[in-house]
Amino acid sequence: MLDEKKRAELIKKATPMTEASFYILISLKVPLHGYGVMQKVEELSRARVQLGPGTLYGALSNLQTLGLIESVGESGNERRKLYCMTEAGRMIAEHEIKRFEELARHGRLLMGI
Amino acid sequence: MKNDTNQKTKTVFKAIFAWEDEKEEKWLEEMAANGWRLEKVYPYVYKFRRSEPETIVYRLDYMSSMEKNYQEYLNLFKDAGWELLASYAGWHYFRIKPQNDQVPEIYNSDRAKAQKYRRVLFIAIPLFMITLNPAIQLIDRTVHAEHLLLRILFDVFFWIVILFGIYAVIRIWLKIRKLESKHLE
Repeated sequence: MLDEKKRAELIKKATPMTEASFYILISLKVPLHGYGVMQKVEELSRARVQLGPGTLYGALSNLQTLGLIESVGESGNERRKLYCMTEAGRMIAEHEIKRFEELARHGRLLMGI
Repeated sequence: MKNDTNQKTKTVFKAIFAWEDEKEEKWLEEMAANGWRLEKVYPYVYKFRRSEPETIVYRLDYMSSMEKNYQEYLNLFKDAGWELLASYAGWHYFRIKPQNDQVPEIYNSDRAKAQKYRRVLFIAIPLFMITLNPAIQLIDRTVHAEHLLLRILFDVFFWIVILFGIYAVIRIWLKIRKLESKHLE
């Protein structure tokens, strides 16, 4: 587990996340290939968020560098990587969900809806 | 360029620079719309083949093949339906036939796109300069100091290359700035 200081540092570095990165991160609650992530995000957002391969490649690299996801194996003859969320990734996802909820709550409150 | 309809292939020599990639994409799309399908690309040389006029989206990306996850990079494009038709010196020429009215993109945000130009700036240009260096030294050694005219010609050439390099860095840097500035608050 991460100690308090490391946790705060990671939150500072990794958030606020872009919509694309957040969708990629939560898709990886279960192990998926890059293309699986692409399909999952399209499905979840009802095709509103379309991930181009360039964006996806960059986001997967960044998330890996931050340690929020990891490669958990390869498969197929072209060695497609399988990715999965890490413990740190889970912590960041929860942090972001709380932040989004706060935004939505305050938005509703002040707009009276 | 001849507009002979019986012609089956066409080779075009065209100087397009790293910061003009969007212009290049547009040009290739226009060629496809006019029935010229890109077959091969070499630096500044484009080979086309006659085809039915078609709507094709071309996108250029920069990625070093030395990258650790290069195979993964190629797989992602392939799985997303993009055909890699050529690559040289890190530049990749991808194309796709749109399934509906939407124009497919390889980057969905300016921030992601800026990463591409960052790679061009920090990988392609230094690589170019490193390769250039031995060539310049070789010419430098073979051109004797007593040949004054050759000496001057060489110096002029040398400075043109250096200034061009600086110009390229500035153009690409401005592009990155523009793409990333939209995210400032």
